[in-house]
Amino acid sequence: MKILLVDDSATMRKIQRNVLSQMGYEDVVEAENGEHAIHQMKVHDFAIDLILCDWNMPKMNGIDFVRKIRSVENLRKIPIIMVTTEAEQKKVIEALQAGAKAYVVKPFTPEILKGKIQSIIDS
Amino acid sequence: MNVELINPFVDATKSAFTSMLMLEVGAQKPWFRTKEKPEGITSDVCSVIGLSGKARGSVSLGFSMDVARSLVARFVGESDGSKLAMEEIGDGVGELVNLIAGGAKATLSERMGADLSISVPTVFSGASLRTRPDAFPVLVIPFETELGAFHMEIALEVAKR
Repeated sequence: MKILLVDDSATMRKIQRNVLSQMGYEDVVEAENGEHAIHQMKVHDFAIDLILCDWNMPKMNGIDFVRKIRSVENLRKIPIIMVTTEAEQKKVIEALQAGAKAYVVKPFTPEILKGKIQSIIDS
Repeated sequence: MNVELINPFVDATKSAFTSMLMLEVGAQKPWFRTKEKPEGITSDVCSVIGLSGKARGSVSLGFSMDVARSLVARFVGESDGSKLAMEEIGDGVGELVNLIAGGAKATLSERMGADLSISVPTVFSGASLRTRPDAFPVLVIPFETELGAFHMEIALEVAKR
């Protein structure tokens, strides 16, 4: 399973990578923003199985990235989990309506993130 | 400065530290920097984030280098903080203030019934850094953890209509 981590914070990418490693997922690709994420997807022939994506990033933010991915038919099946400090209900609704499959609010415990990832994989 | 503006930051600090660093954090007695007594606490690493909207101003976190190194090592799951590069420490303290401001923003937005925005964090490092605020008062909240002490400075005001 190949997982794409999209976050402008190297710290956050490291933390999420650690969580994925604890779950047995080592094939992880990283991107610093939405634009970089699209580039990384092209590099990997769009063979991405799951995306974890921040919201507030330079160049292309997370919500615009989600909408971009969802606008391409072949990429619509890739589940996207928003992982963000944006906690307001209207933001959650906006992300889910844009096409995110799930939402994790930062700060999170490793167990919360693992649970959300596992529930997506199981579904 | 209204206590309603301050509590969300203390709560968000506790939330960030307990969930992501697995570290208990205790807020100590806060105090004000004023025009008459402007001196604050010096630090070696300082991360600052701006807020705008109905409440505007800034929030900063200040750490000694040793404490910053220890906290960021805990944050990213490194057993040996001495292996962290300065860039990693800077990114880590920047992300800490981002988490805290983001958590406080959600509470403040709900209470004020208005959207707030937070900036990208800025990180400064050096020896004996001290912030110089544009306006006073600035609230200083010292925090204690088992990995050392750090402090938060809050300079916020509610925008007049």
